[in-house]
Amino acid sequence: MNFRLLCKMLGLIAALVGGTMAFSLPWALPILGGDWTDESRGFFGLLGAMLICFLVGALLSCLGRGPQGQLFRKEAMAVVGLTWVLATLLGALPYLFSGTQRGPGMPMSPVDAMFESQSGFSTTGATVLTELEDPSLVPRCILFWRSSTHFLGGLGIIVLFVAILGQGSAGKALMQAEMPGPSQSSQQARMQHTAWVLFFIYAGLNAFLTLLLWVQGLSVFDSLCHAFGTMATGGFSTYNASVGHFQYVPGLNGPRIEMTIVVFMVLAGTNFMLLYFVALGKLGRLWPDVEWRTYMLILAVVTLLVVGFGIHAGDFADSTGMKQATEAGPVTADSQADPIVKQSARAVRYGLFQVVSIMTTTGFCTDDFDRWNSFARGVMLLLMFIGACAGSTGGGMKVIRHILFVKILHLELEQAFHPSVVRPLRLAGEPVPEQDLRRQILVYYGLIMAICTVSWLLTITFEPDSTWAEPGQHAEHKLVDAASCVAATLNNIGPGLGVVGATKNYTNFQWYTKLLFIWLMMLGRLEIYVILVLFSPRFWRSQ
Amino acid sequence: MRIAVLGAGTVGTSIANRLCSEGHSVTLVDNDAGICRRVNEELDARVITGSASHATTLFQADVIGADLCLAVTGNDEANLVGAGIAKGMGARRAVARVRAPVFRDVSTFDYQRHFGIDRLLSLEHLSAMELAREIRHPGAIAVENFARGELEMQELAVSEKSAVIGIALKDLSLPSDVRIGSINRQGRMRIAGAADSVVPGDRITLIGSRDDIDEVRKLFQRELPPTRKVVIAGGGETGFQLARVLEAGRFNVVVMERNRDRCEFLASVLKYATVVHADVQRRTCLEEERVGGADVFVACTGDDEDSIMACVEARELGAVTILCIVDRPDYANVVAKLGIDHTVSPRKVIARQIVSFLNTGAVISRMPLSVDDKIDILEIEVAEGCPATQHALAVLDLPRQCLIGAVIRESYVVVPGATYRFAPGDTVVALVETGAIEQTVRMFSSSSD
Repeated sequence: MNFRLLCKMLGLIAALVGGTMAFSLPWALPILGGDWTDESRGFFGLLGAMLICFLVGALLSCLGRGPQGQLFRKEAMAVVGLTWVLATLLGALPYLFSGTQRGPGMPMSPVDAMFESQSGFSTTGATVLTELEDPSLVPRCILFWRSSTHFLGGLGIIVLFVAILGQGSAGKALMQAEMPGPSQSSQQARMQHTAWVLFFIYAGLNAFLTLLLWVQGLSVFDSLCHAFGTMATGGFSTYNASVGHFQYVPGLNGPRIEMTIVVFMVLAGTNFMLLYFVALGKLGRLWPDVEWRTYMLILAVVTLLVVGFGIHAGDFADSTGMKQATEAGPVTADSQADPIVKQSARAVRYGLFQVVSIMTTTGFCTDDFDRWNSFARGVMLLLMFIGACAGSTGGGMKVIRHILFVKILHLELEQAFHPSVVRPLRLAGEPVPEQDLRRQILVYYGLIMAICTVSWLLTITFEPDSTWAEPGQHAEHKLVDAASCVAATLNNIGPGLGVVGATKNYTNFQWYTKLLFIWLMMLGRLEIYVILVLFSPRFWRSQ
Repeated sequence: MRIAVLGAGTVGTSIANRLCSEGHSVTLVDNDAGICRRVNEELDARVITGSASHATTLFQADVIGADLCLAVTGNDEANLVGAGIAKGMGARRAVARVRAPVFRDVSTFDYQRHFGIDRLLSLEHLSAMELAREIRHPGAIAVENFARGELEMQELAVSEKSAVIGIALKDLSLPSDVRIGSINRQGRMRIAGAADSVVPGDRITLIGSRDDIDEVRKLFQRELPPTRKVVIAGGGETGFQLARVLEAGRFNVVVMERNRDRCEFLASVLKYATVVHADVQRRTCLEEERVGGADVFVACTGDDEDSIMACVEARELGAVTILCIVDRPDYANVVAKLGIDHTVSPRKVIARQIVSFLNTGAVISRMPLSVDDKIDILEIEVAEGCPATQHALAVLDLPRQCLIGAVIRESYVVVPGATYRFAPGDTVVALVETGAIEQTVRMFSSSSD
């Protein structure tokens, strides 16, 4: 292992993270609407965190002085894996230094801060903060930092790094280590150009969405934070009721804001190379892409199912939405069931939003899907494992892997009874060149299953019953809830079912369970290998 | 005629032998002195030792002013260069043999036009086409695709229930790119005229692109033919080309090949055919692939003895029709006794193509359409200032027994309409009844010829 090179790279990453914190500072100032009595702690907390980032960066750069040598696959994986560990640690500092509180009288522990930081970078959107709307508990500048970790992590820290610094062939190895999925390669010969293309699309969509939200009446602060949350498929909001908050604000057109966000969530879950072609005006490239077509098809079918079963079960009978649980808006007493037309409209509006939000692994909510019928809840839980397209900012297992998995099963079945047949794996009629792909996909499925099972067992074993139910009540949904926690963190979604449902959060878990979830989020974001190899002793040996 | 043959391999010598015996004056070129010496003893031909792609050798071989130059060495690139130079030096016609399909694929680059060669021939492709024709329409017309493979000719029988019976052809609303070439009624074949109409039992030929033909086919034939199972033993170039042609149609194609890497290649290129890694010499393999249930078994292993043995096994297992590639003339008499229904000889196939180039004047090639020789397919070059360029196609004084099937202008193949006007340099593909050939050719030749 080339530790010198490793240190130099990580030093640059530390500086990059520290530099990004600077963008959160202005939001503490009274000019931009900050209340200095609440914000000062956040402001100085951020400054302190920046200082430490630059110190760490300088220290690592010192250690990495001298001849560098070549960056090989091994170093690339180490750089990427450790980058995310380092970013998690450094990103946690502002929460700690600013004295941010989870809720009234509940200070954040270092593990809480790391959880929030990792949830941001991995674009999960799971939170331990119970009260977001009180600046005395969570300063606005910290809230902005929380959303900007989404922006950093959405495309991948390494992509930003390569876009800015290039690094030649090293950049190529790094990008491939960070985005390992079976994905279309770009047309650009140089990796820095690819990184630029990705970054410009990403930043452009962020800017465009911010503009659209701002035009629709949101404040600049809210527009930016929600754009970051959407385009990175993150899910951190600035309100307790997530995007659902806006439907109760007088003067805002709730459905229109929601649909704007739905469209951009779908875009964020699309392969960015496809978006690049669309940006060039080649709209025709979209539909022939098998992955995108399947992705849209799954979205449509699941939405139809959820809407159909939801109307049948009466999930959308009244307009409570997120109100009951969060009390975000004025509760109107209309216990009377609405006429079917109104119900259907509501079902489509809420059903579509939740399905898109879960499938793209964003995790925004406008309705508490935990209150839906069992079928819909089950579908949502399964949907968490499907994920977005490869090469997008979305997490999960990626649609392409499922497509290939089904095809591989098909081929393997044929091999079982007719071993002499030679048939290549085909995608849209074209043979897939990589011979290893079959094995890789199967191993990936196996790993996901193993990790899920073990994490689920650990969670239900060590997490006390008091987490799963109100004191004095029997924790009857423990097994399902625990499974949803694992699914929601491993697939970078955020909200799950039951105790971590759309209106709940992760604040009540024990510190060791939170550490497990941090690890799961990191595994999910980097598609397992890069994080797993960090635990292999042979990986670190010199020879 | 004076003919230069570049490459004295199996193909080159057998063609040269045939041409010599027909009284042409042949010059052979090969870079192997030993082969040259041997050929010099065997054939009544001039033999020159040297590289086929060197201008000095070609000059020595008297290519300048030769009627035909055939480049048939084992090397595709040498053939392209040799034939290109020969044409440039002034040979009247130049033909090159190529093995790799990329050279004949005009979709990416037009090699033929670039090198100024009159025809690129692939032995394997021609054999595969011959086999495909035999499988699809046994006993039908002799030529299936022309105009450089972009157009196809298919024969079909008009069914009882067809909606177009009794309607004059000119009143049928056919796609503009499909022509009805000939009508074969009670064994008499003639060029279809605008006023003709079909009756059930007629066999007609359609000319056009394959997709268009399949569309028109529905007008004449109500019921689609049943899907048939074809087993191809041997996935070499011939087997591959055959599978590629057949898999697009109503065939269930299985290709058996014993080389694993070749299997991988075939499987990645063939979309619908099933590729099986198996040795056709082993009876168990043939049994496992259910060769007995096949409608057609084709052996093209690249080795005559292997192919014949595989055919005998397949016949024994119960395959309905057995086809085989047999190149050695020695076996011609025995194969029929072994229950092989039809054999294709690559040497004969290419010889037939070569013979079609032995013409004079504006005619590039001439091939009989059917076995009874009543109708020929002509490829004619449009000469500068010829009568055909004077008016639009509808007004031209072409004989009634002549049908213009296609025109190749630059790299594109067009089916000319009534207002089409020929230009010098066009290549015309026409179906002509034997009696009208002279009159037709005169239309496209310049007056001085």
